[in-house]
Amino acid sequence: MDISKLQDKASYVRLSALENAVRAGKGHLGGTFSCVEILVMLYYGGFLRITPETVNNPDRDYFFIGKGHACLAIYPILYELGFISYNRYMEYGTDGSTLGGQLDITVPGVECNTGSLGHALGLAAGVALASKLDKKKNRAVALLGDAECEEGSVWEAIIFSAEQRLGNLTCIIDRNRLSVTRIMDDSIIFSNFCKKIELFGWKCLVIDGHDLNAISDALEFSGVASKPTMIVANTVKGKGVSFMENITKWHHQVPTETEVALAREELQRVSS
Amino acid sequence: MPNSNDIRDAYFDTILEEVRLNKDILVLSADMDAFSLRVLEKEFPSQYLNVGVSEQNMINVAAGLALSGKIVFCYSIA
Repeated sequence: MDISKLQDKASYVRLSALENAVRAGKGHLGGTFSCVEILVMLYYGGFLRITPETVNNPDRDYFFIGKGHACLAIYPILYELGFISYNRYMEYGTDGSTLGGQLDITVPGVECNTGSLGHALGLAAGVALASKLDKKKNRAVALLGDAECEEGSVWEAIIFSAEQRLGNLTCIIDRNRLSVTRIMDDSIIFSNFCKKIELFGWKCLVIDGHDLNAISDALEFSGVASKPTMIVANTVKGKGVSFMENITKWHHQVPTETEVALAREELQRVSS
Repeated sequence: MPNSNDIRDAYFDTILEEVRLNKDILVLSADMDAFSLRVLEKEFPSQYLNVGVSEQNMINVAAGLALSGKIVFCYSIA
């Protein structure tokens, strides 16, 4: 798929996430917007070989989302690709719906429940290991937040994956430099991060997480690596809506009517 | 048939029988040293994995293995 079509998809995902959050009165827009290009390339760029028909096929590619609050971006993708119906998709955030603020395994295409951070990489490592043991050609991908890397279980998974030489494992970090409460500077965890990760036995790449070509190249590289690959995607929390970008409160604030109109206008301008 | 009064021996005798019969069974342990685990490691090396002293990761990896169709037993102490 060509880049301009993928950019259109990114606009579609952001606009849909906005509309759904506003309609339901809830949602994590900041952390959703920062990983849209990553998700668009994974799902529409051919890197995640999974379809509504293959959701239970053990030879599929597996995608584990650590930062499940980005589900606002996942739902419009799953709807557009035919994993869920329009009616189910429209139920986001309503009582009794399984499309909530975190991902649920009753939704086709969702591999694990989310909400508790720090597990996606270990899960993906388990899948990658099974695949390696059975000499299969599928891959396992995990998407983590940067603050999520404060979880010890992430480092247990990093160590394990290197020890097991899981070349079919890719970890993408949505490095949007904001947690819920703090700025995630290049301090103890993230200074010389790639060097540290390489010393832990991984390959490590740093990319602009909003550059679709760069994401594509990184995913191509990690698909053939003999070690697990870490992709540090430098992103902006709230990307796409100027007044949301890099502002902590947009972690889970819902915009006012005026703000929604402004946001819609900005996002629609990109897609036309 | 397990023939011991010790719960750990009974557990491992049964596991060994099952591992022998089903190559999709995997046994994970978190740096545990037990006679039966050593037997497993020697006789069924592709079905035993010592993940080290990382119990959280053991469970996450086990879940990933199970999602891929494996039947997983995790062994450790609290």
